Amino acid sequence: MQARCQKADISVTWNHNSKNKNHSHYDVSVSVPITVVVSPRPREVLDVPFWAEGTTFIFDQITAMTVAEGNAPSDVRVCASEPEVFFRNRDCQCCAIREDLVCSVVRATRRAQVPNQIVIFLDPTRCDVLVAISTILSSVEITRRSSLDAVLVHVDAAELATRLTTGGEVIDDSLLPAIAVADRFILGNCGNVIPHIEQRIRAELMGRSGFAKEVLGAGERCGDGGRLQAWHVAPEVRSVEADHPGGLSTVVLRADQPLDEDAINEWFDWMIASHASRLFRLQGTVSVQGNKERTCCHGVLSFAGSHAESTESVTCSSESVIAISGVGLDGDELMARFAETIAS
Amino acid sequence: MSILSEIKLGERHQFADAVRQVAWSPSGKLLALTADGMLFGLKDYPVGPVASDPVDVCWLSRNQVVVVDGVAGAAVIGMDSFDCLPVPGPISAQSTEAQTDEVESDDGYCVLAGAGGFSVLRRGELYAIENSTIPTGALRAAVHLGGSAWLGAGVNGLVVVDVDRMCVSDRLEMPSVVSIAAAAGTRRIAAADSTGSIHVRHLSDLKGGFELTGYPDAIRHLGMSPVGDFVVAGSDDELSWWHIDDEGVISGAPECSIGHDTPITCCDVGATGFAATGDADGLVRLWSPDLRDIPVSSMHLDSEVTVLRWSVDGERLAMGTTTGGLVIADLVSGKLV
Repeated sequence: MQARCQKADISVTWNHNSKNKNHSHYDVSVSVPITVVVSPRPREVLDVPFWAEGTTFIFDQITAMTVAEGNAPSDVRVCASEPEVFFRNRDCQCCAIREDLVCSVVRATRRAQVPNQIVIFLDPTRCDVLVAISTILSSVEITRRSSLDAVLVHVDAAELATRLTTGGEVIDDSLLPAIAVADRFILGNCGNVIPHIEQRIRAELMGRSGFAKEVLGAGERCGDGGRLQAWHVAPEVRSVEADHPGGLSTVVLRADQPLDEDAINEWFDWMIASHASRLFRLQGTVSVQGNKERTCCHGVLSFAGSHAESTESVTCSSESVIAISGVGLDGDELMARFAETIAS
Repeated sequence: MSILSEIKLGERHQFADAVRQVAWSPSGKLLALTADGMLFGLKDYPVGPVASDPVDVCWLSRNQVVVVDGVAGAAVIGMDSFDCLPVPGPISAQSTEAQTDEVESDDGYCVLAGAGGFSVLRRGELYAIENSTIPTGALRAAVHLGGSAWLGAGVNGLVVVDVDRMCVSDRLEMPSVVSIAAAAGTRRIAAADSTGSIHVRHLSDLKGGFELTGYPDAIRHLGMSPVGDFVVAGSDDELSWWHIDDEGVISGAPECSIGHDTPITCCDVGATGFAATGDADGLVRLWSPDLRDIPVSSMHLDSEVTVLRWSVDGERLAMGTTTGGLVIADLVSGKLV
């Protein structure tokens, strides 16, 4: 620690023996699962039964007020959170954190009866979805009590159908960050879209996402008791090529044999340093030489964390899979550097 | 008081949900706001629920309190009244009772910090202080600097306002302040930002001063002695004490002490200079300003400590927990045996 005068040239350095603050090995099975719902119209999504009993919902203040004054069941807990972006590093715009979310999640979990699930609604027109997800993954205050379970992205079928039938871009670039982090899509307003157009929209969404497993319609239940466990497991992913320069792509890297620990760490460091601003989602399972358990890794923007693959059952697979979604990714370079890592 | 002082258990209360915030009146009345929105201490019986997302509470006058609700804004609650106030993104409420006894009159006022900057609640009316965001960031906290001066801190830095003239007196842009502390008598302030630095400043020159660095995370628990001779910061399980000399200079390394096995969850410095810290396991430590490397007294509560608050005279300590426990302890002089 150091005291530094802003005017005079006083600098007193003290060799702080900093402890190893490794917060990544948390047990996701006992922490409160967080489901993020990306939607500009949260009231419409509330019809989709994706939450468990005893859920706490976090909305923006106006929506929270509407829900609290509406017909919400008496056991529903509602919190409000207005976007406040803080920066953890003065020189780095991608080291942003949503301070309001940190406070809201802490409030929601500091209860005599801890919620079974927390559902956070994000309006993509009012906030940066990636900063919010990065906050949930990286904030020590949040990960001490809870863990990101899944991201559901709500899209309006009628809006996309209009784009499709008028020859415009079906998926606007502003939606790409949400598509990159999506584990499921919720397709709303399907009643106003003819079936074959709906099918094309579903195919378009799935074709752009490397991680999403399905597209849900209104009323379709997803998850087991509100839990999908999509962010802390070996990902089921598919490669996606960008449809235009600067478009969203997903690069999937695989290795059959265990990797050298130093080499893979070095590769992660290089990858984050060179791709942070373009990296929308990173997720994988890594097998390291000498370790019985594989390591799960996940990240958004400049944050990447890891933890043991499972606390219950250990698979003996030595395969490593790492998927990276983002815009402007250089797939060839990523693969070439990863191949060097495998060879080392 | 001396380093032999200790805290003795007094009253105990058990509520149905976590104690979210407490507030002392100058005469020693204690308010408690719980996570289920119930309010204790205003009347002889519990009131509420008064908020769906309770955030903060303070006394406004002898018979009125202000509750900050993340959802509804704020509410002024009297013995027979309940008035909602539309405050955008409300975060904290402070009245002047922490430093003076003027709030015991019926003409108290309260300062609300939130997404819209500062608002002053006086005689039932809410007044916004224009341009009290820097330039457009939410304010996370406010402290009274004495007289009509208040310090606010938030997304884009610090702002000093005059609530009588309803204007901004001074401001300083700095990255993302998460906690602040002040010694009103010496006009010294401390602000911790999200990058893990603490900025110690004098009100006469907000731009100069000292920056205390080296913390791995944001400092959420920050205190300053009433006479402004030390800053104490809680980070993870460690407390660090920075000495400030008479000239306002900070030199040398901080004195650090690890008094907790789990992360510190709250910290408060009282009028006597004693600091109290609580942690995620329910351990509360008392620290003397004269002996900073080991706690002078400890007690165990039943669960994570959510709030610690010294009474105005610094003689009593209110402690709340996640399981709804509220314990009041007295600071007493110890003796050699």
